[in-house]
Amino acid sequence: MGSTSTKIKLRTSDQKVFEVEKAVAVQSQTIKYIYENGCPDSVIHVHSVSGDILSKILDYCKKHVNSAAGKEDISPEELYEWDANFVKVDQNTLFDLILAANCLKIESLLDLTCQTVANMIKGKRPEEIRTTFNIKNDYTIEAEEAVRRENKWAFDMLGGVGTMVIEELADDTMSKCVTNTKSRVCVIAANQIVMMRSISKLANKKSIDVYKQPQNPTTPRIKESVKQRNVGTGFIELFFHFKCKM
Amino acid sequence: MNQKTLLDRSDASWFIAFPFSKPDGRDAKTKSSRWSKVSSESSSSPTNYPDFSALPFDILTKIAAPFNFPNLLAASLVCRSWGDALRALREAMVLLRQGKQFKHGRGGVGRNLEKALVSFLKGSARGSTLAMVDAGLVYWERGQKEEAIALYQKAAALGDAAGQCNLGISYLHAQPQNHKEAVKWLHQASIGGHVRAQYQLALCLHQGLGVEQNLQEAARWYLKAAEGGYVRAMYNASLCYTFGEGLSHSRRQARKWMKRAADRGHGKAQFEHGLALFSEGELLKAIVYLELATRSGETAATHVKNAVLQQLSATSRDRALLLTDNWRALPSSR
Repeated sequence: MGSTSTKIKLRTSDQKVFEVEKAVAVQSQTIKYIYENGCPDSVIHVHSVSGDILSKILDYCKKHVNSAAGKEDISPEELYEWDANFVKVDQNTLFDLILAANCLKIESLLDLTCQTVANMIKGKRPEEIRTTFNIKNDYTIEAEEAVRRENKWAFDMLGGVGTMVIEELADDTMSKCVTNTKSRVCVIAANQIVMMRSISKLANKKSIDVYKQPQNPTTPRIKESVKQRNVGTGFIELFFHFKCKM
Repeated sequence: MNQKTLLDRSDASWFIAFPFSKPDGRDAKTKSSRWSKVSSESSSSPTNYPDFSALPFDILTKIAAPFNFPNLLAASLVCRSWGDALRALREAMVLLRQGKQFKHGRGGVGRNLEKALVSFLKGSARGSTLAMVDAGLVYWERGQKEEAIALYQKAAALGDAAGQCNLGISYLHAQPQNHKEAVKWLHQASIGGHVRAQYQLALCLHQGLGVEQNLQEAARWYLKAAEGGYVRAMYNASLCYTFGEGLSHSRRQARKWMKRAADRGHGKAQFEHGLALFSEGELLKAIVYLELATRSGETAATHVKNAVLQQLSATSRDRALLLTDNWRALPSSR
């Protein structure tokens, strides 16, 4: 028996057994790993995948192996068409294909199915997405507002005119910048966006010492001191001195 | 037991094979809402619909990687688990904006490519393909082509059309040239609607680079890119109509696209359009376009322009000059 016709047996969650060529089966990195690290003759169990889904997956793997090896005369465009038709399935199947491709680590199939879902999400409002996928809305009004707000200020702040960001808060650092009085300042520490101040508010004081109380234990406590100095109409120079405690 | 098992890294409940062959009753119940149709024979699933809200976080991140902010926000608001899963990507959006500020020197920030790159790389680390593409652009500007290509590859694999387009173009210019790969990625980006990719793909099809020469397909993609606002594609589409390459002869269509390209600043198109106007007797308009063409560097236009100028009175000449000076190109997607 030559290596080109080596077969691998796969048993699914519903006890169906599939016998496939090795080249097809090892498109799955998982199966490849199990095959190479175990007994080549034993049956490989794929408990998380049902027979129907595995059968579809093996069709996909076979098509791609054959086209790559040149066994099938199919142009890249035709293969693309074939893939597009492959994912025209009902939602249950699509969902199962995603999870199975993830479990079995078949990268190209996971890419294909993820992009299919992405196209079903793009351009839709949340209610429409929920309808498409039959998802229940478990957001409380406060939680939903929090998500909207969390992003709104970031967007207003960075997208608007005269905004500024300072980051890389390390312990006991000094930072200086010149900005106009309409700006807001955002501080990012430990990869979290921890605070925002409006400079026009700061501009009314000579210096500010503020402790930020953390809402959750992983937010660093920051003592900020801000000195400001007018450097012309509407512009101020700010000195930030941060003391950061995790 | 001689069967080996592998744990899925993201979530303990996604085991490939349990050490026992049948899930025990308790496990089946707690897992039934997640498994639903997957193990339909061994557990009783009450729902007929798959539970998309239970998609693992890393899959959701992969799906939403190429999203812009509006789509990301909409997806985050679908349900709590999606909102949690996509938090890192939302942070990536903030970093993306910050990076753009540094790159273009907006909003009170001085132009600083180093800081822009740092921000973009942080956004990429959180999984946003938009940040990856922007980081790649900065690397490319600085001449670090390998790093740029690596980032484009990541973005392209996640389905980002701009990443795919940039990757295709970098393969076209690579040493040695890899036209097949380039066409593959340009094709994907073109289907995704990326206008520049459509033009580049059309060029490859036209010249038979990396793919069999196909004039009809090339013309089709030129038209698509032209409709998307790409000026060079408009010029090429016009030529296709003129010479009947891939498209049936149509003087009307050719004129239409040549005018559009000329109005958006294409030097050669301005020359051609000027000539066409002259042949129709519209001397004043012709002079404007011929002058514009000359200013764009079309030396051939100068001779024709001078010849036409002879036929105009002094006042007309001045008017033409005034019109040319006040001319502004229409917006295009380059």
